[in-house]
Amino acid sequence: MNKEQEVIQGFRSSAKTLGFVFVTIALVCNFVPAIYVSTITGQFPSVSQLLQLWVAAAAAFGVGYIVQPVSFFPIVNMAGTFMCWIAGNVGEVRAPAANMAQKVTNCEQGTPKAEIMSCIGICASVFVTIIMITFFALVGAQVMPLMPKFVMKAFGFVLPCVLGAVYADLASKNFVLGVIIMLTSIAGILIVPKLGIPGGMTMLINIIIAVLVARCYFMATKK
Amino acid sequence: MELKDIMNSPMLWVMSSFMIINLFLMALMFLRLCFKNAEKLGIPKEECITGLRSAVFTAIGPAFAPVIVLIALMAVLGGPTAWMRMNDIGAARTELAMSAIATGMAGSSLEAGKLTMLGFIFALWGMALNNSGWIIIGGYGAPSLNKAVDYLKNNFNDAWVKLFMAAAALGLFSTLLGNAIIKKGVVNQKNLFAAVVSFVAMLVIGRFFKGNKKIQEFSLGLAMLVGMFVTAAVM
Repeated sequence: MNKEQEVIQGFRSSAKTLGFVFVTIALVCNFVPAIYVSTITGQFPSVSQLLQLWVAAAAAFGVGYIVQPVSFFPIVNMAGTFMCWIAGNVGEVRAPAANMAQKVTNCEQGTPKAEIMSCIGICASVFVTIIMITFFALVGAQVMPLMPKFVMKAFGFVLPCVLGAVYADLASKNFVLGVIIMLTSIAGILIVPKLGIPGGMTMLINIIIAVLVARCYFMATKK
Repeated sequence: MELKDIMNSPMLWVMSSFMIINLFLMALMFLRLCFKNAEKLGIPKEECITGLRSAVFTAIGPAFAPVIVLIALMAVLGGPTAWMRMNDIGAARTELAMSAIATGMAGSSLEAGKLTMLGFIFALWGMALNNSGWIIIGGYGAPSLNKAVDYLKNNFNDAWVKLFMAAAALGLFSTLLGNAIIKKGVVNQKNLFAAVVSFVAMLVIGRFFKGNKKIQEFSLGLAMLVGMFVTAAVM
């Protein structure tokens, strides 16, 4: 083993230790606000409700828990992975920052230097997002009560607007599939509750239908 | 205590800060580790600082995207929660989707004025449970991911894996969008209008400013703002 390899192995093993410690703390911190509000109001969700929430979360995003860390791994490496899946915004903020840090220092992909530079880039991006979001959260809190009524009225539409924009973004990558799945999902929303199936299941059913539609589409367009 | 008082209470700011402090310290410690090992590899400190600086500049642009959504999310879930959840894992759309699912389960809604205390509590638990998925699998799984990466690439058709993911996301968001527009089987015309305006705005930004990276970084926030204000003005 040459010296470079020795250094990077040492780096990885220190990163592993650091990572496990901070990930464990993050996991606890993640629940603190929920526990706090439940405690002061005395309203704890029951175990079965928590389970239901967890199933809903896993049904909606569970694939992402596994697929996303895997897909970004080659860009952010192990040390970066620890931070990325606590800090989020991986595709939009972390990966570009890691990439830029490597680019300006002329790193060759896969080298120990590239691994360390990508980690430096991710650390930098974490500082940036924390500082910016904190700044605007504090300023925003001051500004909110002073907002004109028109602005507050506009914020009432935030949900359909965000979802509409997100759907446009997702659908623009495959418009035909986007339109078909929108139609099957609307049908699902209208029909599933009438069949006596609990409303919470609509989403899962719609996702399964969407995947089936995609499979048919894949088979039909495959040469 | 009223929901509004709790949502923005000083204590909730404190409770929400632990996550962010932990993340900040984590990045500091990792940065220290990087600099130490860079030195061992013979990389000059100036080079590390150059990398750090360019990453800072790169991150500023796209960081505005969560900032814009933050302001909107603050109106719905209060300052501390929006602050914490925009700083941690879960993109804006994920947090919104999860809180929409959770509040719905509590018989409440994220719409202005309709959020109940139980709805808020469910949203907090829902987001925490959802984020745990990434923290546990991304965090504890990091060391073994290297092997998994190779396995996936070698054993599945790449195009189908991508399409599968895209379809699952489309299924999820079409349902959420449908639920935001159709209430108890009846179409809410204001919400439909808002969604259509944002949808079109997003497509327009995507098509006509395709080469403009800066605008693309802001596109989701911009399209959302256009939809919100056009709807407020017209409806």
